[in-house]
Amino acid sequence: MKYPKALLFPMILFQLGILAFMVFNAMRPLQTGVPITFKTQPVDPRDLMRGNYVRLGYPFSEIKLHEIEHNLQEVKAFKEGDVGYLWLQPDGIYHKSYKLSKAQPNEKDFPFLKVYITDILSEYSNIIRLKAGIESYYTDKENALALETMRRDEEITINVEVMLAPHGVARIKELQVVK
Amino acid sequence: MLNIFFSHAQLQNEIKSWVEEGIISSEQAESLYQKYQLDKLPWYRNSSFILSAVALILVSLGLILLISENWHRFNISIRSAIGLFPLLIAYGVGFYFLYKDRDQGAELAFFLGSIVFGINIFLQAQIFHIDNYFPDGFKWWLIGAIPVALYFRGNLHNFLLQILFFSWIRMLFMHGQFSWWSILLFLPIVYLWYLKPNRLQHFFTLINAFLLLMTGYFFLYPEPDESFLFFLFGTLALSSSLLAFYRHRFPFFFIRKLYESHLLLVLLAVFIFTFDLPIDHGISMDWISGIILGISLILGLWKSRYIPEWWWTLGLTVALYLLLYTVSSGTTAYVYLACNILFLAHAIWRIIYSIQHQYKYYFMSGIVMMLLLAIARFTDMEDYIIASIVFILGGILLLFLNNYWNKKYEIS
Repeated sequence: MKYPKALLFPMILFQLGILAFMVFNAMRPLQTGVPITFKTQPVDPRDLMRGNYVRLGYPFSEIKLHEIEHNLQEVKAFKEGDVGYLWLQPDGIYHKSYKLSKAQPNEKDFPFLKVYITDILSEYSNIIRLKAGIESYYTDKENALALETMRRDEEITINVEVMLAPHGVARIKELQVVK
Repeated sequence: MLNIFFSHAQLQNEIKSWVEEGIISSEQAESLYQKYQLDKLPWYRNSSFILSAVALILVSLGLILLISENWHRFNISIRSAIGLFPLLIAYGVGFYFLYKDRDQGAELAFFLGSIVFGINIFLQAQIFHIDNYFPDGFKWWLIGAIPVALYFRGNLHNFLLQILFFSWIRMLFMHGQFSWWSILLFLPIVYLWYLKPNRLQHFFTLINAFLLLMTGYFFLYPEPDESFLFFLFGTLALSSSLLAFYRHRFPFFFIRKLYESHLLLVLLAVFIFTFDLPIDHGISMDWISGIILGISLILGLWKSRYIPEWWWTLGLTVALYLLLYTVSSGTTAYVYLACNILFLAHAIWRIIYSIQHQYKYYFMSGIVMMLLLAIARFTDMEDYIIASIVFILGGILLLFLNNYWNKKYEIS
């Protein structure tokens, strides 16, 4: 070995530190956030790394720009992967999209969601697609298939309760099946 | 086929017998030993380490599958333990081997540790339902695995980094995203590749460098035009320039083939423009390709200036770029003419070079290129008499050249 053996200890601590930091970040919205509810539509995909999970689609995943407030120049300047902020407004038991902005909002009256632009505005469409990092719900195979089946039942509504941290990061708390 | 003699035990024995029989001197034998690195252990002599590594990769895949089951019915602590327990075991075994001076065992254990570290990241994604860990999880995995890889500097860890970087950058590319982290994290990978290159590493480094450049390019130009072609060729010229920095670490044959493969790709583009294609408008100025070609020129002048294939790769790229950059509607004939001349000039150069250096592959490829050009022009020609004369003369020339080669180098 070319280096002193003791040098490997901080490297391993660094790995463990990364894991601890990620757990801390993952848990923070669950502990400091406020609960809000979205209606969702799950589908059941699988892959090797993710295993069994359901893909969740939200009303804000695909937004028609004329339905929300926005600054067109700002929205046109978005690139894929850019961060944006989606302002939310209570709508019955749910929250609906109210405004999309590039800058983080200051107002405390509106909860807002930190989102990533996944599909930018084209010349021919006024639709913009967004992701908030809460699009995957990991579960076992039976549950994933059951959720997929429930989606087709018109009498069943599937809601997601998320915890929204003050800085806009959301974390899924639970999936609620309502008859 | 120089490369198959690398670390070859049979060749080693042959050389010993040549010395004993007085066919070659001990000094000559020593030179051959150095040229083919015969004092190094061939890879199969290290099979125990390789098999152990394969076994650990299988164990890791088993762990990934175990976690993929998503044990939703268990609480967070139990699910976390599924990932943390093997991680701590791997670290423990690694340190035990390290302090017992069993270096290979330690390298293997920490290799497993680096894999299980990544599995823990994706386990978190499951526990907390975080979608952003695809692709961000790979970034964090890389950040954690790089220091350990830098410590061991072994092929196994380097290979893991290459695979992780590929997985991450591929996802960024697919989503049309770019991360400045990618440049930072690619630097240690390139450093490790430079320290301990092998063919697999070379392959992954090229692919990863290419994907990295592509993500950067598409970030700056979300809707690229035809100038993208020059970005591709610019990267080929750049990788040709970079090749020279470690060409002494590979068999000459292998390096030469890489230079040739880069050149052939650029030649293919030149060949396409030997057809009288309608070109409505030229390409736009692309400063990224310009910078890449500039860097390629500087690095190449430093290390590759004695390699003719490098000059051709760079020269043909620049010539094609300038031709298409200056083109405007209605004045496309000179592109067609110039590309024909360039292609023919290169074919003639191959033939002359091969005769000077007794390199028959270039002799034959030069002739094939000339034939290819003749067939291509045959499809353009409407005058059957001129076409027939060209083909008859071409056939006679080919016969003459073949006889010339045989007489000069083989028959004698």
